[in-house]
Amino acid sequence: MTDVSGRTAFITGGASDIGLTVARTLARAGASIALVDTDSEKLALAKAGLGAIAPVATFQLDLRDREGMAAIAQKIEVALGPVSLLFNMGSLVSDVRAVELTYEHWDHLVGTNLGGVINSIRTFLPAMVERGHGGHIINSISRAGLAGASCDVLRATSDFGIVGLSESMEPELARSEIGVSLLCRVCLPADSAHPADATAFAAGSTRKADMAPPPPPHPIDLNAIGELVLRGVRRNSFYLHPDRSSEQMVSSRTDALIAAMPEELK
Amino acid sequence: MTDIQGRTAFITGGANGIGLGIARAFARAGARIALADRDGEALARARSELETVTQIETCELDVRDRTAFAAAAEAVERKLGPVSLLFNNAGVIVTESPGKLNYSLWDFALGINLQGVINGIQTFLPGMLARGEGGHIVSTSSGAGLAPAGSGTLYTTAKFAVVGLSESLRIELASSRIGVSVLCPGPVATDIVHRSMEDAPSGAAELSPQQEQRRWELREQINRTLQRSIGPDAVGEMVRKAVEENSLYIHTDRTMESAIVARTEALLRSLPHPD
Repeated sequence: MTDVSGRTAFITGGASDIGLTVARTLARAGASIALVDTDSEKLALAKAGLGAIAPVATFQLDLRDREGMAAIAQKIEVALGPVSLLFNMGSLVSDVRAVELTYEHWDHLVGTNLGGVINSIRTFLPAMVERGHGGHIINSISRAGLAGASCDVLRATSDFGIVGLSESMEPELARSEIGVSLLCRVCLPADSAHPADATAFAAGSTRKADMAPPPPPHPIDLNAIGELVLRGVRRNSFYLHPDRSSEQMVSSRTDALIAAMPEELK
Repeated sequence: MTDIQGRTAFITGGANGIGLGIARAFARAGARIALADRDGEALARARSELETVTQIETCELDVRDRTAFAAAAEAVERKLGPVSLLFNNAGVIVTESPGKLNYSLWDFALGINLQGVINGIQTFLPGMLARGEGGHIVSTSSGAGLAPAGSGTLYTTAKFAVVGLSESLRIELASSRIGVSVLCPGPVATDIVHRSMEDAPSGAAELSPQQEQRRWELREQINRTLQRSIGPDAVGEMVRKAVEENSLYIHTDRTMESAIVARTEALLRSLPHPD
């Protein structure tokens, strides 16, 4: 049950799409906003747009850069006060088939998507716990985090890792009054428009296509996602789904998991 | 559906515990065995046990070391022929509360439990694909890779990631006749609890004597539970059967059933109501 008003939010991937939408929603709700992104032009636009609503600071950052993140954390604390809302929204998509993967692909994507969440938590969480004023962490995943067969290997690996991280942290942070949520942005354009899945299907199996969720019934309403996230923080809801598109694949996966279990020993 | 007879198997964490159980099962089924482990003495013991059953090579390897991994692969393949059965099994348990995690702990736990798996795949998969003779990749996750089981954030993060990796990889490799399985053991009678402590870096904060005592008691309690459970040889046989039948999930018991069902119910309950 975290009120965002008067708090400072750190938002990765904050300069465009969902990160920016979340930033705007939080700014309107009274939070100070620190945005990081790799794209400096978009950061400048975001700063100009949000500056009229709330105190804003922006920083260009590669989420793999631990020292850079630590330095930015210090600047944010001076400019906006201590961070107690972490929004890990930054993520890369992938168009590499498993048979073509190199170490560079793994290091870039898993290092940014999963490593970025780890770095942000390492950078801000210990102080959040120490100060004892609670707070909230939101991590976000694509549908790859709920059923690995629905997506490419790099994102399935990263997103599952983020899910495991979030689910295991949630009960442990409850006693520090730090809430955790997982935004399952299953059907955002970044997922559906990307060629990753198409190339994977071409490898010869149709199962990924079968498991892919149906396209969303309406165009995605980014503002609705901003509201969903804000409600999630205020009510401390764990799973945040914009729509029901992951229902079938979650159920099928669980059925397969249970069916694979050995008979009870008599 | 992978025939084991005559193939070469590479097993990380192969000198002890579940890895050794897998080695025994696959040696009996007619595979040549390469064991990689950080424990040189245990490698020597395993070698003298298994060399009466099959051709065996051993190498000391830290699975985080990509260069050493490549060198180990080359040495093994020169002596035993190309590896087409890969067991990414090396793993450690590290528990620490989320607010006390430092980068050394993250890098240690994810380096072995997740990067070690990635390194195994990058080392051997390109050759398996190029030869076109099929094969199988089994990565060891945990029941804690399917739903949180109180094993801590470091372990759960890595073990979930290995499940996601395997589910996705399986689809993409199907047309190359390379099977993919993920081993999600419940409690197994191994010495992982004590072994993991030997190399783990310390947490961010100093612990009081009382905290040290509580942590020690927790570890011993986990260890006692493990020692009452099924043995690694039984797990090895389950893995052999799963490779022969190309099963995706390998559970060793039904320990996680209720947690998996509860997690799925929570996921589905949180979906927005249909319009």
